[in-house]
Amino acid sequence: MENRIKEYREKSGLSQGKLAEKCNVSRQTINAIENNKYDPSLQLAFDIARTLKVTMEELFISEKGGK
Amino acid sequence: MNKTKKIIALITFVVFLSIAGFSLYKWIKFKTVDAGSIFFSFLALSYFFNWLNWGHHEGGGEKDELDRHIETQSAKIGYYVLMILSGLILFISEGTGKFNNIDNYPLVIVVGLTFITVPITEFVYSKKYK
Repeated sequence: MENRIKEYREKSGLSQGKLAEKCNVSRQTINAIENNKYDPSLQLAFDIARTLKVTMEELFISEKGGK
Repeated sequence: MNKTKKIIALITFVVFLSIAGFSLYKWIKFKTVDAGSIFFSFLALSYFFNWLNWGHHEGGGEKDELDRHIETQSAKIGYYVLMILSGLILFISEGTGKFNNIDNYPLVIVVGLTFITVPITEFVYSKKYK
């Protein structure tokens, strides 16, 4: 599943490491999600959306037709 | 990986090389194979890879969800690799590709077990959700 985490993270002025720290995961995990190598769990997806102050629909793009 | 962890990883690799080298030397020089040194060389090699990957000799330590995903996927892949390796060891050690000529029945049972372990585990584990 594609996502716009990098875009919203940069808008928020957060580094990968800082976002990872706020979501209690490693920087490598955030990097893998941003590069579409790994789909996060529902809990982590909510944590990232909450940290970046966006909705899940804004953050993740379903492969089955648009947002 | 910090400097201390790199040094420990290097030490475990040196330990592996020493034990494996000693076993190889004994085998070539005296034509004797010591099961203990084979076992401990594999153990040292597992410590080395665990240190390299997780920074812990038994593969423990704090893990986030990507680490757990890596563990789960690696376990599945590792299982099938082990299945192929056990079959190869059976046929190579027996020196034949014909089942009727094989005498090492415990190893045949081990190879057979690799076929049924996952299906049975999946069957039992699926009961938790059905």
